[in-house]
Amino acid sequence: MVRFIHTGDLHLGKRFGQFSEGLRGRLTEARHQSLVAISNLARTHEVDFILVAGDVFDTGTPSPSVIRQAMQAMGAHSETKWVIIPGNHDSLSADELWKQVANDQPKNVLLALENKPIEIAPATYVLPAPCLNRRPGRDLTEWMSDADIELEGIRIGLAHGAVQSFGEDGASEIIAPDRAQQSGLDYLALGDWHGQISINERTWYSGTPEPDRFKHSEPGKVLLVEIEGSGATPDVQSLETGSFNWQKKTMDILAGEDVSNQLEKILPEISLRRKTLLQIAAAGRIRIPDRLLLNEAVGKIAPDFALFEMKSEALANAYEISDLDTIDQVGALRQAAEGLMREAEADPDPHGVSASALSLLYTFTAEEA
Amino acid sequence: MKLRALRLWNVRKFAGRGIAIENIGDGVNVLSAENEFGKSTSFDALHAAFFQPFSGTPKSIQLLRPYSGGSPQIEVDVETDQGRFRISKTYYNGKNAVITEIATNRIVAQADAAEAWISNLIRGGSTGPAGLLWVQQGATEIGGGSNKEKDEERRVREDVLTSVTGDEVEFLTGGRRMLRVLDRTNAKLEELVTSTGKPKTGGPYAEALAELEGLQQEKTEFASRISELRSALDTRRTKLRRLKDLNDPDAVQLRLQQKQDALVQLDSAKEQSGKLATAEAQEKLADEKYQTAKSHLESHQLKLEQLAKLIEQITGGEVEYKNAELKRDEALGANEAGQKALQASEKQLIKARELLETAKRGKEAERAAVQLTELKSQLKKAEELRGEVEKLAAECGAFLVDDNSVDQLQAFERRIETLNVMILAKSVIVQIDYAGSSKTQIIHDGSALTDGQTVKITSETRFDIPDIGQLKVSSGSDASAEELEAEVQNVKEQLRNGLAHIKCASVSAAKEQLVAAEAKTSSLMLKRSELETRAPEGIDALRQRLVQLEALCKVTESSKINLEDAELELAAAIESHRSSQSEREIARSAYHDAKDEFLRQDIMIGSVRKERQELESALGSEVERSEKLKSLQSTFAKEQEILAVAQQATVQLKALTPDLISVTAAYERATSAVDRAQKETDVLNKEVAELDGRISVSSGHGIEDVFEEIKGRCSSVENRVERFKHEISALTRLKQALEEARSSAKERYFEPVMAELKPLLTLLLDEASITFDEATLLPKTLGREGLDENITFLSGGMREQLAILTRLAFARLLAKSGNPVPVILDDALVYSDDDRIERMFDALHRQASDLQILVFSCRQRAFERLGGNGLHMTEWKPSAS
Repeated sequence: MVRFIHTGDLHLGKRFGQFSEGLRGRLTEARHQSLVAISNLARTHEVDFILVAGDVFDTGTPSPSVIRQAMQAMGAHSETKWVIIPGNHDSLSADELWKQVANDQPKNVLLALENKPIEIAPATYVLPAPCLNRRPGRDLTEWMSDADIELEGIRIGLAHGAVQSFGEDGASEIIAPDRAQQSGLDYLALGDWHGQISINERTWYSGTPEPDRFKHSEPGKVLLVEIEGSGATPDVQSLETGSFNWQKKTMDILAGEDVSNQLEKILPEISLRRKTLLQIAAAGRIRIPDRLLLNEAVGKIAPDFALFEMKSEALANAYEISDLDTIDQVGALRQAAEGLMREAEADPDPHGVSASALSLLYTFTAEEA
Repeated sequence: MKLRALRLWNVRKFAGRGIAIENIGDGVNVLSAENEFGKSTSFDALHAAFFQPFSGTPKSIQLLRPYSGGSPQIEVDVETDQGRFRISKTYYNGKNAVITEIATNRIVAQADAAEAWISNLIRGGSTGPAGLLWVQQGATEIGGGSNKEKDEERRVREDVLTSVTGDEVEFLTGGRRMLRVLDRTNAKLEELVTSTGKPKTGGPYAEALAELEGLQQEKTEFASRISELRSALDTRRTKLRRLKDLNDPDAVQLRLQQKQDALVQLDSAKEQSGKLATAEAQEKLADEKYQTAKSHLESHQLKLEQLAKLIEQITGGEVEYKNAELKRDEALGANEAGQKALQASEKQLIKARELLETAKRGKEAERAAVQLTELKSQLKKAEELRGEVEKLAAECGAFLVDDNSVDQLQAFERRIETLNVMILAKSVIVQIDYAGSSKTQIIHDGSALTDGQTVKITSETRFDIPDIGQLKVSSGSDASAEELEAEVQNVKEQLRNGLAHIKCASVSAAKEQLVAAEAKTSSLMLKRSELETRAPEGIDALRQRLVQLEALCKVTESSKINLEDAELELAAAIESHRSSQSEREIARSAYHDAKDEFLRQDIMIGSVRKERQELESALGSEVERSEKLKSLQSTFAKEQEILAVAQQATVQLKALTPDLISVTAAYERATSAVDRAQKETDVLNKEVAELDGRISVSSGHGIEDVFEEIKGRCSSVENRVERFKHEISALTRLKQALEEARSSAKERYFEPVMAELKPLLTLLLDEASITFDEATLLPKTLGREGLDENITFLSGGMREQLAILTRLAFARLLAKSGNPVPVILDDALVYSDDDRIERMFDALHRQASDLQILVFSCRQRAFERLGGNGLHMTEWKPSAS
């Protein structure tokens, strides 16, 4: 019987340049902290080893401190073995990186840089398929079928890449989805897809232990895998590790609805917000006063969150002539507002210049009032 | 309201007395009078009646009080919709205000109620409704006065416009709210961009743009560094792979082994080559010896053959020699015989030629005899002709006259005639014939001339005629008659000398002689010509020829040979000589050939004999010759055998020896492969070391992480910039929409006053437009020729005229709204020139149809043209009340 943690896509050193400076630092640090979390889980569950399925580092040229600190975190508990392979982000072509890693490598960390079986535990073999470069152009796991190892041993494949065209970094080098069956593997530990997913009972993507985008909208996780013996179906269990919660929500608005109330309903509880990056995609139609109310509500709650993004590209304005009364009932202001409204209605872009001008007029006059 | 009368008592200069202006009509009323007449006093009093409460004594009221004091009283009759009323005001003592209905004499209001009644009537400030009522001297603006007054006047104008348009300006234009929204929009816009739309320095938009530019630059730099790093990594990988291949132990061992093998091969090949070289040298030596022996043998054999041939030649040659000698002797005989025959023929030829010469001379003598006879006759004739010529020449020489001398004589004759005529012309005679009654006597040369006396005039002659003067008479020529006579004598002397010279008595005789001389000369010429024909070369030449012919005739006497026979004989002799010459040449040629052949045979046989002698001397005796032949043959056979052995040895060695060049090349290749691998290894190690350094420097700072971060920041700032751009567009659009709406509302609001003002403006200016200030509701700009000018920057005259026209426009609107007010102009239009003032008069009359206009002016002449209702001041005293 063997028990191990399957993880991958740590992307250590990732800088999150699109965010504010403070958030950038927090997110980068959280990635490093995922190593500590995994290490703690390993001890808690008394695993034999940890498999990292590629993309330990975000790029081929991380700063020396990122490498050094990562190796130190992995080496902190020398009884836990780590096996790491290069992924597409930190492929073997980044030889300077792997040279540096080799220099800083603690004894409990095994670098699997060749297509060569590693006997990680008695009669337990890890068959690594390190990424040679960013786009290898072939299925790197093919060699696993020809691996010369004892028949009775437990065979665990370790690879990084897509089994289908996920569109993740435009990956097109397909790993055979039935690689485990074809090559007689008991388990195939895969990396590259940042969400956790099972391809079949023997083939799993662990997902990233610390999310880095809104795409998957789930917390960071690893897999705890237990295999009784050669040929046995693995027992796979998901464990949460992530500290930041990247959430993507939608908000369908109907003209005249109470938008503040609707917004409140989809927000997480206040204690979770500091570590939540929330992206709300608003859609539907909204009246100008409601849009102002929504903007106001967003302005109030946004500071609660690590990041709050309101995407309102799909939220069109619903123009009601009565809404213009707030601006003015008669006179030149009213005349200007009606002119802008007519323009905005005729504009196929719901966020065109006229619509924005009208919203501004509404805001200015409302504030005047 | 309309004014109908103004009366005042004890006001300013009218201390203790009063004046009245009655019968103020509708339309234009003019009070035109010189200064100090009381116009301004009337005007000020009228103003006080409407605008100064009776209870107060402000400065303006103090100024109305005469120096002597007392209470100023003012009465104004007005007509309103309600009827005619009288406003009566008294200031200072007995101060009061009373409104009386004139028709009924009913007091409508008193004191403060009266003031309220007046206030309600005029509405607004100190200048009446909308500042219309009063236009004082030199007023160049409307809307003057205190802020309170301004506000009041504005309110009236607003009321007027509102009552006409039905909307308030605030409603139409959005008022202050609109202004605040516009200000807000502008402020927002100004935070982002300048008035020209450029990003505002220090603003958030400019900052975002600058940040984006910086990030993009950084992004480009990092992309370039990453690209360099990746390239360096690729290069290093390639080089390391190559190094690995080069330093593979098997490959290294193989290269060294190949080099060693090649060296062994080379040494072996070199040894074998040495042996072969020795064998080849021996073969060469043997070949040389063999060739020598062969040569010696062949040389000896050749000499023997030569000797045999020489002996044979000598035997044959001797026969030939003899034959040639014989032929030579025969040819010599033939040659000598030919020589003799030739000499004989030559003699014969000479003889024939001599004979022919003799025959020819005889023939010539015959011809000379004939010529001699002719010549003699010719000579005789010539000599005769010569005699005649000489005679004629002598005769011609005897004549003394010639053409020139005759011409000269004739000229003399003509001159004499001319002179005689001139002398005759000189002989003028003056005759005096006095009238019978004349007592006057003409004096000549001091004496009086008698009646019928003549005077010959040869030179200038004077006649004195008493009481009349002097008469001068002269001949036509300058020369005197004596001078002419002298010349006649001179010419005649010359004529006589000329005739004497040619020995002629007269000129006609000379002419005859000249004719005779010419006839003689002609004969002489004919004879000379004939003589030249007879003896062209002269008579002496004829004589010489005669002597020659006589000599020729003498020679022919001795010879009588036939010429033709002599010629035939000569031809035969020539032929015979030619034949002899030919034969002689053949014989001589044959002799020379035979002699040459003999000499050749002689030399040849001599040469062969000498050669044989030399050869025999060299070869030695027969025995010696034979022994030498045998010896040479033996040596040849021996050397031939040695050579064959040597050649065989060489062939065997060649077969065993490898190609040294190929073996050397193989060795060099193996050596160079080792060297090159070493050099390449060195170069690669150096390059890899350099790349290590570069890669270490480049990748040491997490450049791809930083690059990703910059990309993220870039994208974030790009979004920000796009948002700013959108916001700027939206703000710009909003500003435009607000301004358009406001402008359109204003236009609508000011439309009624513009409608009034437009025709008035047209009277003043051809093409002009006015914009109104929204706050003051007064003209703000004047547009002329496409240019808007602020009213405050216009000339005083123009400002004054616009102020009056605007008042007239508003007054008209007031009238239309049922609240007419009079317009009172006190010495207005002071800044206007004659042309403009006329136009302003037109404007006043145009508006006067439903307005009352009162004009006070001291410019009597200028305002005569205004027309209208003339007003007059009359004495007035208030009725005792």
